[in-house]
Amino acid sequence: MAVSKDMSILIVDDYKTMLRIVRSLLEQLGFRNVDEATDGKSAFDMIAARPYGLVISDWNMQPVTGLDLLKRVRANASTANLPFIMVTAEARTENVVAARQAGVNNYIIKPFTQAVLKQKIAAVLGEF
Amino acid sequence: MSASEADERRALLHYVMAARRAIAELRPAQMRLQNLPTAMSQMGLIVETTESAANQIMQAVDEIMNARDELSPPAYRSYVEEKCLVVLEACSFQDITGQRITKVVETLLTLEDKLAGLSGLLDEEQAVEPEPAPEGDAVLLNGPAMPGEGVDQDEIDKLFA
Repeated sequence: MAVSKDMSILIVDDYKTMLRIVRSLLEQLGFRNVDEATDGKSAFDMIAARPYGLVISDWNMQPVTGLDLLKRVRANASTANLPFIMVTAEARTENVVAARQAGVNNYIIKPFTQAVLKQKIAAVLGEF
Repeated sequence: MSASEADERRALLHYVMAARRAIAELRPAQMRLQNLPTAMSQMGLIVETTESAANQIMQAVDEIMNARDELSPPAYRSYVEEKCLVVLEACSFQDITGQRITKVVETLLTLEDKLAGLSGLLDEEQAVEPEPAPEGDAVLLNGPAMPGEGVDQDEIDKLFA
């Protein structure tokens, strides 16, 4: 399936620097519709308000973590199948297993390169 | 009072005085009102400084990438050189944050040294209940792994293959 570069992508991170980096990398990859949220709660509100094709979220945020956000997304019938990539510095096996069990589609360890981001998006959504 | 009771009281007095001295050497008021707030301010400034430097560098890189189709090759070369200087200047944050981190480490080392003296006097096993362990998903919030800990991207990729 071809990936549309017009697809809306939501990036979630409590560090604005990281949001800017991910946005720049996505824009360089050709994605034009990128929204930002700085915590899991506002991210979920945004996901509930409009359709997204992909969520790329940090894990370690307060008060709603990326894992909590993932669980809420999967628990909601209208967003249960929303592609979700975790991008995080949490690099222990138990983290990856917990995210996998919660239904994450892929997992990227910070710091990462544009090539890794592209590869994971392609693995989740198909080549572009 | 028997001789053994007097010895016991003397030992107790020495213990209390040593504990008071160790606590006084901690300078709790100075720690609470000066050293720790200063260390926290330094840490806050480190976050601000690194964020500011990252923004300057990203801004310059964005401008370089956005200008590539708008300028002639000689003008673009000059523009890139100008922006490279901005990037170099922004990297001076490492010197400033390094100095701030050194100050914070000094405070922590002083605190560690004084706490070591105090813990030597106390039987911590008899002290208050242990700190409650995090529960649920909170146990998974450990932050960035130390070198040698955790898994790398290749190992994660195998889990998702």
